[in-house]
Amino acid sequence: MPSVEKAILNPNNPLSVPEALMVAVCGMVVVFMMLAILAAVIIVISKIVASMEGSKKPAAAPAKSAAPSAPAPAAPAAPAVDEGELVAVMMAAIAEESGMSPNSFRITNVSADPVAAPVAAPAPAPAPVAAPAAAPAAVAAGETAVNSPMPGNVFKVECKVGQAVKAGDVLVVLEAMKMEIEVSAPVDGTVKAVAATVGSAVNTDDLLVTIG
Amino acid sequence: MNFFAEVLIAIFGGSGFAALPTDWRQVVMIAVACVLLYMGIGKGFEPLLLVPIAFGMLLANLPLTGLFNPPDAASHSVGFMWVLYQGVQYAIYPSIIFMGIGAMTDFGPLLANPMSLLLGAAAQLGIFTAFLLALVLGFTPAEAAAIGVIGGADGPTAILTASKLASRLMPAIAIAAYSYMALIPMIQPPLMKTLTTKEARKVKMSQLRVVSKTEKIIFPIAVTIFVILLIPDTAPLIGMLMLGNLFRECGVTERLSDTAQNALINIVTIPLGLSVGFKATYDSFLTVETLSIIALGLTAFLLSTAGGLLFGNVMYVLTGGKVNPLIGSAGVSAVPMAARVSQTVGQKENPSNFLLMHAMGPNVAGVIGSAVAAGFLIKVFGG
Repeated sequence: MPSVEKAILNPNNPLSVPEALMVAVCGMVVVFMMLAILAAVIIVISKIVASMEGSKKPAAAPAKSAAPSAPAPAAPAAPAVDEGELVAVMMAAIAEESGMSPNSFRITNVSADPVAAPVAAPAPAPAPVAAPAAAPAAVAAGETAVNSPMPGNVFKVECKVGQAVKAGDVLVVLEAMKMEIEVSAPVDGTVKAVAATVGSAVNTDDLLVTIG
Repeated sequence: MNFFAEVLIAIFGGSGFAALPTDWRQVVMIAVACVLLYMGIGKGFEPLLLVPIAFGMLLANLPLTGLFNPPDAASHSVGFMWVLYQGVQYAIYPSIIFMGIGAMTDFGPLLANPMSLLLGAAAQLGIFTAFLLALVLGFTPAEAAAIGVIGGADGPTAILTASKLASRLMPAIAIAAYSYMALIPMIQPPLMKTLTTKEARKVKMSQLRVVSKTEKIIFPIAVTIFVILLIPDTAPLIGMLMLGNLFRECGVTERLSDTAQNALINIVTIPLGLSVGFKATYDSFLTVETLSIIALGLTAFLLSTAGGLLFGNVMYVLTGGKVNPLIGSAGVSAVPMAARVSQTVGQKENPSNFLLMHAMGPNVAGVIGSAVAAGFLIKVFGG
């Protein structure tokens, strides 16, 4: 039971209309203020972490940007399982994040994940893709790469190499957060390669299927 | 022979069957409990919660059990359910459940896009509007506050607030909160379609950056310090939520994280459900108040969804069309159901639109938001 002594307003007596409105408005303001403060705290933390780790390993950044953002079309790499590979693959996406310094995040990710550098370094393709949504930058002309939109597991592969597909046909079903998510073909064409294997873990922007 | 008849009469006279006809409402409550059991078992309606709650309700309405007797020093006895209920009375169970939720939740999407915290704040609108509506319906301010928290769509928070401010109404509040959470996929989509434009629903959001492990470890510690310093009343909920999350992220307490999100949360859900159900006795539950709470809860829920969506539209306009307003409805804290609904509705509009991860940001922000709102109300009304 609420105690009257601790309360700011008596919990048992009816409130007047202005009092009640004040409680509601104040409450909304407090919630907004708290979460805005929290947002500021998060931004500050990420800046600090980024700059701390950036000064530790500044050399890692160039190696990173040379990472392949999509596997070569001819030999689609196995879906990245390692977190380190994810970092490499997602670099392009980071550049897109509005209002954030792309450089600082690039560095953050590298140093937070030491595995990333060795994995990314020997990669041959110097293809920093700018727009992950458009994706096909690293894919041969006339072919469209269908990339994973989010981290998850491949639940079903609903297409075969050589199969003709129409825009909107379901190619792969991913599973994330106990939810099935259909990834469909963006264009008409023929399936050239299927990189996704059922049960494997994929990260954002990993190649799933190539359509030509 | 005479003796035999006497024994039979004595046994029957002391049985519940003899006591049952004293109040017809008991029979009604037993029937309600059976219907709820059917909904849980037969219809799969949040069975993990509804089955223990309904069974508690069943036990509570069988006469003469003495399950809720407070400790009696003379006979060294105490009612079993009275013991279990102390965890609700003193808000132990909701806090432990929050620890499990923290261990289950990846705050990465929130850290990648801190602005989604504001969507989580906007979606608490229903809490305060339902509070006003409950006042209009004649509830006391403390009771109105507890009812409003249903709009946060967060079961443990609603139970904690109700146990502090209006323990009399707790069963109705808990049942309303959990039912609406289960109904999210039906309640939200129509509202989402009404309050957003077709064009805005099609917006594809740019991918989220990867959040470093260091940030993920610092986050729960920083939130604990800042939020609890600012609103000390949120300490049990936010503190445990963040402890669970620290278990998950710090990398050296995997076993604790695993226990918190699986075994421990199940262990606590059983007595929590039973105790909540046990408070639903005929004299407290079969009232007009229960009906108004259920109606107010639905209103709170709709208004929270609307609040999130409207703010989503604001962000859509302010960012020049970079934010899809559909993620706003995920600001109600039912994790991850509300985010899944955003994903489903968004993909229906544009098959290549994937909002799940973007919606997880406001979704986990909603958990913090409703805990803050509850902390504020508890502070104001002295729970």
